[in-house]
Amino acid sequence: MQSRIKFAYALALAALATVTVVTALTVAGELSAGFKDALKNTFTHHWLGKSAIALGLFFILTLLSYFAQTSTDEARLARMVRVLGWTAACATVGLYLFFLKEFLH
Amino acid sequence: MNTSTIIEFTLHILFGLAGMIFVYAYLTALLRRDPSVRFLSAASFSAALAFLLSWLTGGMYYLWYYGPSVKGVILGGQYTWAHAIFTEAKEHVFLFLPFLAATLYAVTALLGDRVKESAELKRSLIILAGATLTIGIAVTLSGVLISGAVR
Repeated sequence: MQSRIKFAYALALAALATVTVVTALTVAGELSAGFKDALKNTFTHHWLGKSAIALGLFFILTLLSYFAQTSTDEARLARMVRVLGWTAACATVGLYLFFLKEFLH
Repeated sequence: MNTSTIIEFTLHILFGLAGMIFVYAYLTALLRRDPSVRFLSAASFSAALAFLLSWLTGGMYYLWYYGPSVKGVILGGQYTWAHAIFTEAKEHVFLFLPFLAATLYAVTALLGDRVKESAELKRSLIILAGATLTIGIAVTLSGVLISGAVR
């Protein structure tokens, strides 16, 4: 059971990092035309770049986090799942408000 | 719009809606006193798969048709905010959904009966499933609004 909790925790942590990085890349791309162009030049389209980074990051961080963890428990996993849910909800509200602000300016 | 674009667009919507239905089924099942872990695993796996397929078909539609043909129509009309706010937010927020659903599946499948025995874990999964469903509803409503703006 310990290794199952460890893998579930690693995956939830990777999902949390992915949600955070996608949000940060999106905001950075809007604030810096050069950064958005770099994504576009590398991946042919900025959205494709964010998609590829999200997928790659998720798989790499799941593996890294799984092998780097020394120990974890069910309570810690429950906390991580809760934090992931709230972070994704806040990031969603944040991105809608960010694009509203960008439009109004 | 040619046939392949219509197919991509239709599949994007159908897979997205299917994903939402599976997350809703997961959430309502989890809220029961004695949920079936087998059902929860199947529902969350189906949701993750549906969101992944919706991502793929939506990406094809977005890159090959929306960008070159639809975006300009919206930006040239009266409802520029539909693209500037709702498309921009939707296309990025959507990227969360496959990972959230994959986490629901992984935790449920790996921890099995502990999902219903541990009140704390169950509560956390209810929060995650609720967030996933709410984000899905926001993305769906944005899609409806964008389609209306094109017309």
